[in-house]
Amino acid sequence: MINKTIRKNRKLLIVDDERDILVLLKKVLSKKCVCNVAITESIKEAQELINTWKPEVVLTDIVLPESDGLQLLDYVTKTDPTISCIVMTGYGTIEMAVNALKIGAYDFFEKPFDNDKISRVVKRALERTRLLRENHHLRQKILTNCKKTTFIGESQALQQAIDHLVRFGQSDATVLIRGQSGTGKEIAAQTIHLASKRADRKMVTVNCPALPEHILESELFGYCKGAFTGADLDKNGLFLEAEGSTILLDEIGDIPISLQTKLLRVLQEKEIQPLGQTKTLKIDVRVLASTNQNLEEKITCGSFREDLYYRLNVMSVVLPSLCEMKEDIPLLAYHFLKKYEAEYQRNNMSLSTETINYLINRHWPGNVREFQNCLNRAVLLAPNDVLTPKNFLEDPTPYSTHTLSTYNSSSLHNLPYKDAKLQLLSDFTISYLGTLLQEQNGNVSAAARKSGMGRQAFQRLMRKYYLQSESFR
Amino acid sequence: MARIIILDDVKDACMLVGKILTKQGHDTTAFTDEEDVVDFVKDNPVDLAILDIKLKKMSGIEVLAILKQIQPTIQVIMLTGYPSIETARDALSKGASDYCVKPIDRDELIEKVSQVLIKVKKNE
Repeated sequence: MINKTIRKNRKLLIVDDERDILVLLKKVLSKKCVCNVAITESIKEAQELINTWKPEVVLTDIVLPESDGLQLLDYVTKTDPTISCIVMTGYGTIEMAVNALKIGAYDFFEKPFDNDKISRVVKRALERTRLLRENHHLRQKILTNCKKTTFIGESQALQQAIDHLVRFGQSDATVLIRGQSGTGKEIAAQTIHLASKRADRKMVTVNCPALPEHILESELFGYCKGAFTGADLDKNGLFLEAEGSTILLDEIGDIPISLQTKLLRVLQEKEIQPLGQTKTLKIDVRVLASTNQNLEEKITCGSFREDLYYRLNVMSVVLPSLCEMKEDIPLLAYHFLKKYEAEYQRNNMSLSTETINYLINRHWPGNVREFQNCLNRAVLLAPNDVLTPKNFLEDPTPYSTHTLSTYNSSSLHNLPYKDAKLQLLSDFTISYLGTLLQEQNGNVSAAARKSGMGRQAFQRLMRKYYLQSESFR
Repeated sequence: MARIIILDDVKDACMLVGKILTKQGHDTTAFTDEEDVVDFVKDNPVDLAILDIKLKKMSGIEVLAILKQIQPTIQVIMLTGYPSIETARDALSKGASDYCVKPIDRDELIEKVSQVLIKVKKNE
C-alpha cells in the first residue's frame, strides 16, 4: 500500500485551452487521484513545467492555441520517456487516436468524458510512471554495483594489486588475500569473484572469528536432523549455499585448529561432510581467504597448520596500505566527500589545499577504513562548507595506536629533511604522550610525572598535537 | 519480399488485399478462418499479418495477442470496417504496428505495409 504522503507528492500537469475545463479537471483529479495538479493554457509554459516541476503525468488537449498537443506529446517522449502522457480531444478521429498512441501516448480520450473513467486512467498512469522511475533508479544502482571493482585509486601499488585480482578471477585456484586492517580485503575478494565465471552468482562471506567454534563448523558444513540437540531440521551449510559460486573465509588466521583440519579436506578433496551424516558431498566452490595476520609466525608457534597454509596460499596478493598509496588520498578524499555530502544532504562542500596536505601527511594506521570514517565524521559535523584540518583534528581517534614500529621510514625518505624531521617528531611525540596517557588511564598529572616534564609543559604538547585526555580513559 | 498473411471473414476482401500485395512481390497467404491462421503461424515464420477485427469466432485483437505469443517478432496491421477508439487503443497496446480503416486506398495500403516492413528489416 502506498503511503498517502508519497501519493500526495505525485504531480499531474494539465494542458488545455479552455480555462473552465482546466479548473474542473484540477478540482476532480487532485481529489480523486490524491496528487498535486498544475494547469496551463500554453505549450511553452507546459514545456517549462515538464523540465522544472517534473510531473509524473501530463494530460493534454490536442487543439491548443500555439501548436498542437501531439507536438507536446512528442516533446514529452523525447525529454523524459518515463512521463505518461494522456491525450484528450473534442474532435477525435480514429486516425488522430492511432497517431497519438503510436507516438507514445499512454491513453486517448474523447470529450466529453466520464470523470470516474479519466481519474482511473490518471491513477494508473501515475502508478506506471512511479514504477518506471523506480525501475530506472534500481537499474542504475545495479550498474554501479556491477562495476568490475569498487576500489578507488590510480596509484601504481593499487593498480598492480587490482591487475592481479582481475587475473586471479580467470583461474579457479584458492587465493589468499593479505593486507593490513582496512585495506579492502573484502572488496578484493569481490573483485576476484566479479572477474570470474562465477560472477552471476552471489558470493558468500564468512567472518570466521565472529562465530564460536562449534557454530562455525555447523554454519560452514551444515548438519542433518538429529545431529545434535536442537537440530530439528536438515540445514545446508555455507559451502553448499555457495555451490557454483565463491566463498570468502574472512580472517582465516583466527579459525581453531580442529576446524583447520576439516577445511583442509574441503580444499583437497572438494567435498564436505555435514554434521551427523556419514556420506560426503561433492561441491564446486571457489575458496578465497583473507587475513591481516602473519600466518608464517602462527605456523611457527603452532596455531596454524602448515599444510592448510600451503593449500590456501596457491596464489596470494598483498593489498597496499594507505601510506603506500598516498597519491590516491586526494582522490579518495573527494570520493568520500561526495558520498557523505549526498548522504547527509549537504551541498557544495570542499576541501582546502591545507586539508589535503594534512590528510596526505597524517598517519592512517586503520588505512582506508579509518580515512573513510574520518571523512564521514567531518562531513557530518563540520559547521562550514570548506573542510579544514581542524574538522579532522577533533576526531577522537586513539592516538595511542601510533607506535614507533609503524613509522614508515621509506615514506619519510621521500620528504625534504625539514618536513621529514617534523613528521617524525610529531609522530614520536604523539606516540610518546599517547602511550604514557594510556598507561595512566588518561591521568595527565601522572603521565607528566612519568615523563619528567612539568604538568603545564605536558599539557602544552597535548594541545599542540590535539591530544585529549578523555580519549585515553 | 516479405511473407504476409491476411485474415478476413469475407473471402473477396482477403483476395483483394492479397492480390495488391502479391503484385508488389510479396509472398501472401489468405485465410478466412482464425484457427487456420494460428496453425499456420505455429509452423511457418511470418513477417506481417493483416487482420480484420470482426471475425467469425474470435475478435481480430484476440488473434493478434495469440500470434504475438507464438511469434513475438511478427508485425501486425489491423484493418477494420467498424473502427472505434477503444479497439484502436486495445490493438496498439497489444502490439499492433498500425490500425487502418476500410475501405482502404490501394496506395495507402502499399505505403502502410512498406513502412511496417522497414521496421522488420531494422530489427533484423
